Amino acid sequence: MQKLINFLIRNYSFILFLVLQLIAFVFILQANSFSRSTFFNSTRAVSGEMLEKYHNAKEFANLKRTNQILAEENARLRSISKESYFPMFSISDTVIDTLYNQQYVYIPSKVVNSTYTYSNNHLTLNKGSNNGIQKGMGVINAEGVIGKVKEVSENYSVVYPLIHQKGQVTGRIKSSGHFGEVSWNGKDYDRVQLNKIQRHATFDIGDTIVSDQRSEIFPSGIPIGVIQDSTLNYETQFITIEIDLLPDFTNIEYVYIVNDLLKEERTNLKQKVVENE
Amino acid sequence: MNRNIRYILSFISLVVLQVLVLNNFQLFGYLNPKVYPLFILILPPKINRALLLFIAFGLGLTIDVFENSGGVHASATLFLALIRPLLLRIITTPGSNDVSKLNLGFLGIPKFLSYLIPAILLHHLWLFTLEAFTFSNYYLVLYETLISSAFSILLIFTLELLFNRNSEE
Repeated sequence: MQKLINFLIRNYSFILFLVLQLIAFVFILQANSFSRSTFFNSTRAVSGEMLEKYHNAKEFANLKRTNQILAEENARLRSISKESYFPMFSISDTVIDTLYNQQYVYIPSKVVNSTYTYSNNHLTLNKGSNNGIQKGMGVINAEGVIGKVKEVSENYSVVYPLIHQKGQVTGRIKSSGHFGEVSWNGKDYDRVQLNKIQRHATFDIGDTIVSDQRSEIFPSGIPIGVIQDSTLNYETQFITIEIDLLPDFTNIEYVYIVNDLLKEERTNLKQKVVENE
Repeated sequence: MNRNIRYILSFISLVVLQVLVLNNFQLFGYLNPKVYPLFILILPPKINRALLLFIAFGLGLTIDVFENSGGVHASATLFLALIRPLLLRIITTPGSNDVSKLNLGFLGIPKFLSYLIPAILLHHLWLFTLEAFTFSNYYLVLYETLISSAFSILLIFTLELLFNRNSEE
């Protein structure tokens, strides 16, 4: 016993190192798990606000490009709005349209902090639970799919972008409809991989990969990237496709958070099936 | 007292430089220079080891809060604080009091670099290994470590040249 106490006294700094190191590892493990909430992150009031103030100043440098992207998006939306279609029919009475029910609502938000050079990257947005943001919602911008919400505080939220190794979404080859998991291997910030595509799937280099509503997060058809290369794994007989990302993760300013109004209904329905089985 | 205020000021300025400038200054994909380890290196040579560890933990956690990285930086700064006494042996003769301050002005360029370079390399290796959270693609981690270390060392050396060159009072 005396020896043990002597040992502890002699090596107290090393033991203190081990204890603090253990605490650090608990934080790391929490930050790396999608389901558990992390305590130390930039949704915290002080660091969140400081980053936002700094970002407001930095934003001026990017206003020109942001304006251009918004203008392009406006033009595209205007072109598909009802007003820009010429009516080819002539029914004159009022029809109350009950065929369409709104499914997706978009909440605009600004990026206050983002990284892209790490093997796991994050975005911080200036909208939180006060604005109706919830964990697991999808995030897109004018160029395509960005990622999904990982953590929410009152005024901020942290997003796992596609360039986070746990930021998987379901992707689909637009031309053929084959779908698989889009994930990132941690190498290039402009390149992700579409995994587990059946070998009989047909596609060409340059085909677009879009989001799929099987992901339960995004509406169908939001662009993710363009096929750049593909390899067949001879052991599993699955194809892995290399995708060039369409959104430029080095320069994201404004995003939309996708709120799927029917998600709860689908979840409840599935729950019922599982219970009955 | 005056000395303590100087340390607090350098803590704040290194964190601000790291979080607001360098973290937004990401070049060539793998380049993430870090200047905050300098704070641990310049603390007085005779500092209490437990205090050194607590300061290191606090510094690392501050950086982590801004980078959303959990405790990666805290872990790396703790490691640096642990090995600092060993690194000090490189530049001091055991038993003598020849080093009373750890900055460029006091140590001179050769001694300062032989203290700084191994410290930064080991810190970055620990940091990027944890940050990747995997041992697959380990050559990528090594590459990132080497490139970032080179820039970190260059930056820290420049900072010391600017601010601590003639502080031999």
